[in-house]
Amino acid sequence: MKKSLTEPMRKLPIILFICLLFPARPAAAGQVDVSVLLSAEIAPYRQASEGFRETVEQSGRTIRVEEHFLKGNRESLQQRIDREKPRLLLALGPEAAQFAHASLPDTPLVVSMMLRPQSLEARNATWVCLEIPARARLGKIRQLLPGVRTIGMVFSADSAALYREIVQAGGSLGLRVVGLQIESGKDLPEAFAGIAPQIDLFLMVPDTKVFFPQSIQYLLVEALKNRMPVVGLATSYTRAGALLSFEADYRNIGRQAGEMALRILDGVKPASIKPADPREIRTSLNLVVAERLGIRLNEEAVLEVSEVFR
Amino acid sequence: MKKISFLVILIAIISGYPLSGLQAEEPVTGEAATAGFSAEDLLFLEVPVVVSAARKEQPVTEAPAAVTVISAEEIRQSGARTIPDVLQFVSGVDVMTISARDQQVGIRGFNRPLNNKLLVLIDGRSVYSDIFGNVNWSTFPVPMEEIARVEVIKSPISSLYGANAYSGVINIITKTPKEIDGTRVNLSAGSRETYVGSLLYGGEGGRLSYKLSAEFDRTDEWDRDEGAGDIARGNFALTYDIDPDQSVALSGGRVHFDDLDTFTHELFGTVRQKGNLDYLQGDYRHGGFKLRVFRKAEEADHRFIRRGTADGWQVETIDTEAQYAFDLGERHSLVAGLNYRHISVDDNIFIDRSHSQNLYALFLEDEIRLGKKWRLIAGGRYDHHPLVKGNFSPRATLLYTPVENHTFRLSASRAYRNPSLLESYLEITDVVGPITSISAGNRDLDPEGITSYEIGYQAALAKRTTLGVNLFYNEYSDLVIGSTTIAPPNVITTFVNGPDAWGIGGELDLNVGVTDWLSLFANYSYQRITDEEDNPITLTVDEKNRVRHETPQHKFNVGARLRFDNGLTANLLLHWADRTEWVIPDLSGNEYRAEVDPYTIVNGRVGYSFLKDRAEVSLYIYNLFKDRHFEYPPGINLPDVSSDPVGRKILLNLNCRF
Repeated sequence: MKKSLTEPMRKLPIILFICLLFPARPAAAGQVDVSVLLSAEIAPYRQASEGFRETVEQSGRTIRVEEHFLKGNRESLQQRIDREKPRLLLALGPEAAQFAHASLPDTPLVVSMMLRPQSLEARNATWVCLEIPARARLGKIRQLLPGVRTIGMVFSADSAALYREIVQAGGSLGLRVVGLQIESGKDLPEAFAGIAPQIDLFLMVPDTKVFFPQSIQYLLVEALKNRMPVVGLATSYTRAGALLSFEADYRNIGRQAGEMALRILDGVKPASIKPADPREIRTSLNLVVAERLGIRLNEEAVLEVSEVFR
Repeated sequence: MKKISFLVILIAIISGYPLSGLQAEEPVTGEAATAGFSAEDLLFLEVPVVVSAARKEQPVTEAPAAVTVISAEEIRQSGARTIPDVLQFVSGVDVMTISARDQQVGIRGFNRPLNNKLLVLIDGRSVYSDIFGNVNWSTFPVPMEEIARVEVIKSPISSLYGANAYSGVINIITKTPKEIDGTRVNLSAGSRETYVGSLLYGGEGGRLSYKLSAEFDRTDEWDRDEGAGDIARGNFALTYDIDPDQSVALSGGRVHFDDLDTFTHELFGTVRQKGNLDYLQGDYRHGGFKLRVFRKAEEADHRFIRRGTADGWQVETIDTEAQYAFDLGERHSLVAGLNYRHISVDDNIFIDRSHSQNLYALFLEDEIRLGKKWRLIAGGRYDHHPLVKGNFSPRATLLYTPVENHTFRLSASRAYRNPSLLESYLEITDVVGPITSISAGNRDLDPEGITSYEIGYQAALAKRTTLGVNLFYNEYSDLVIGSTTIAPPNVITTFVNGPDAWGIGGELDLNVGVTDWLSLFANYSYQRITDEEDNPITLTVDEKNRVRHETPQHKFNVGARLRFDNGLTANLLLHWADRTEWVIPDLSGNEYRAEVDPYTIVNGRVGYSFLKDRAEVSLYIYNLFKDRHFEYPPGINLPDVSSDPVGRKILLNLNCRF
C-alpha cells in the first residue's frame, strides 16, 4: 500500500498541539515599563536577561518587561519600541547599547554586557561593566599562582588604556607587567615569541586587533609548546588550553542591572547611579594544563575555583 | 541526469538568493574580525578541542591522524536520525543501508554486512559485538540529541585502541550535564510510520552533576508495510568531584529492542531479534591518571526465518583500562596504559558451546617536540589473544607546521583485527532438501593485518576556508574470507585467511564560510583495493585486474548550510556513490555476481526557531528526489535474504528545551 506525501502532515496537529502546551508571551498592549534589547541570540545575553527578570520578579512589583533581539530591520524595531513607550531601556551588549543611545537618547538607559560602556558618552545612562577590574584579576592570579612574578601582554592602541590599568594594578600587588604593542594580529606570533622569555605568565586582553579565532588557537598551542601558562578571556579558553580564565557571572550582571533599573523606575536619575563592576567573577582552571606545565597551585585558592577541567 | 540537472538548478538558486542571515561561525582573519566582530564577541567564542587521535586534547589541525569532527550543531542541522546517516557525508567513510534497521559503516573500503573492521567508542567504551565483531547501529545506546560530537579517525590506530581499530575509530562523545543544562524534549513523526521521542535532563548540585536520557524509536521497513522493530533506550550518568583534582563517575543504560531485523546474511537468512543490551561503567580520574571499568551484557532471542527456529544468546564483556599521561622533561609527553578484557558467551545456535576469552594489552605513546615546527608521535601496543597469541601494533607520525595553520603529516602504522567469536567457534548445520550445509569456525585463523602509509595536509586558509588532503597506501594481509567445500551431500563452509591485498586512495575536503549566513562544503573520496593473487574464492569480481568492487571507488558529497536572522535554518546535502559489485554464494556453494548501480541521495532540512531559541520545528526529507536504489544487492538465489531499496522519508520534528 502506497503512503501519500500528506501522511506525515497528518501528524502535524499532534506536534502543533504540543507547541500550544508552552505558554506564549502575551502581546504587549499599551505601555511597557522596561524594553530589553539583546545584541544577539546567544546564551550569555540570555543569562543576563534572565538575571534581570529574576530581580524584577523578586521585587514584588508589577513591572512589564518586553524583550527584543537586535536583528532584522532596525526601523521596525524602533517603531515597536516607540509604540511600547518604555520608561527604561536595558541594553545587553554593545550593539544594543549603541542602538538605544542613538535611537532613544532621552529614555533612561541601563547598559550591561559591554566592556567599555563609558565610550557611549550617554548622559542619561548608567551601566554594569562586563570588564573585570584589573586589580581583581591580578589579585586572583596572585592568589592561585604565588610563584608568578612577571606577567606579559600583547596589546594594540585599542587596548593601551587597559594595559596601563594592569601595569598600575600590578605595581600595587608586587607584580611586574611587560607589554608589547602591535599594529595587528599578524604581528602576534613574533610578539609572543619576543616576550615569552621575559615572563612567567601571559595575560590575554579582549582586543580584536590582537586576537581572532585562528590566532587564539595558535597562541594556546604555542604557549603549551613553550610551557607558558595563559590566562584566557572566558571559560571556553580554559577548556581549550588556557591555564585559567576569569569571566563575569552573566546572570548576576543581569541582577545588578535589575537593581539599577528598580531605582530608576522609582525616580532616580541614571546619572545619579554609580556605574558598577561585575559583583561575581567566575574562575575556571585547567588542571591538565597545570600538570603539563608543572605549575604549583595554591590548593586553598583552587577550592574556590568555579569550574575545573581535567 | 535529469535529477542531477534539477539539483544544479536548485543549488544555483539557493547560492544566488539574496537572503540575510547570521551564521554562528567564527570569523577567520584579523581584518574580518574587526568588521562587525566586537571585543565582547571574543569572550563568547568557542575554541574547538579534539580528544581522540592522541588520547589527549589538542586542536584538530594538530591531530596526528586524519580526523573529521562532527559537532552537535552539525548533527542537528543535518536532520539525521541515525549516526550512519551523519557519517555518510564524511569523506573516506562508506555507509551501506541494507534495511531500515541494518546499516553498515566502513572506512576506506571493506564495507559489507556485519562489517567487523571498525572500532566504535562511546565516551571511551567500545560498543562492537564480541560475537561478530561488528557494530549494530540500530541498537546504539545513545539518543542523537545526547551526542556532543563525533570524531572519525580514518587511519588504523590499534597502537592506542587495540584490535578492531583496523580501518579506523569512530569516537562518540556525549554531552555533559552542563551542556544539556535543563530538560530537552525531541519529538519526530513522519513517513514509514516513523515515531521518535526523546527526553534529556542534565543538572548540577554542588559537587555532583547528573544526567538522564530516554528515547523510543519506531519505524517501518523501507519497502514493506511491516514494522522494522521498536527500540527503547535509557541512560544515566553521575559525576562527583571529590576535589578539584579527583572525580568519580558512574553511568549505565539499557537498550531494549523488539522484532528487529538487524542483519541479514547469506549463511543465515533473515534473523529477527528481541532482547536487551545493558552497560554499566565506572570512571575514576586523579590528575593524569584515569581508570575505567565497564560491563556490557547482551541478552537476545533470535528467530531464524529460513529455518523456522528460535534461540537466544547471552554475551558478557568486562573491560578494565588504566591510563596515565605525564611529561618527561621538556620535550616528551607520554601516555601509557594497560587493558584487560574478559568475554564470555553462552552456547547458542551459532556456536558449539559456551566460551570465554581473556585479552590483555599494554600501550605506550610518546609525543616528542623537535623544535618549534616539528613533532614526532611514536607508540605501540602489545595485545595478547588466547588463540592468536601476541600482536604488536606500532605507529609513527611526523607533523610539520611550517607556518601557522598549515600542517603536513606523514604516518606509518600497523594494526590487527583478531578473529571474532563467530569466526573461531561457529557451528551451524542446516538441512535444505538433499543438501546438508555445515558452517564451522576456525580456531587456527591468523589475525587480519594492515600496514598503512599516509600523507596528509590540513590548513585553515583565509576567509573561513579549511582544506584537507589525505593520500594513503595500505597493505592487507591474512584477510578472513569464507571458504566452501562441496562434498556431496555436504556443503562445508568455514573461515580461512585469504590472499593478501593492497589499496590506494585519498580524500579531499573543502569547507568554505561564504558569508555570515551561508557555508558550503565538498569532499571527494577515492579508494581502490586489489588482490595480490588470484582469489580462489572468487571474491575478486574484476578477474583480469584483481580489483575489488565491494565498496564504491568514487564518492563525493556537497552541501550548503544556511542560517538566517529570523530563526530560519536550512541544509541541503548531496551524496553520490559509485557502483559496487559483489560475489555472493548460496547454500549450494554456487556463486553469482550482483551489481549495485551508482546512486544519489539528496537530503534537505528546514527549521524555524522560536520562543527565543527554546523551541524549534523542522521538516527533514531524506532522499528528497526519491532516488529509489539498492545499496547492497537484493537476493537472487536466496530470495529470503534481500536488502531493501532505499526510498524517501519525511520527518516533522519538534525540539524544546526548558
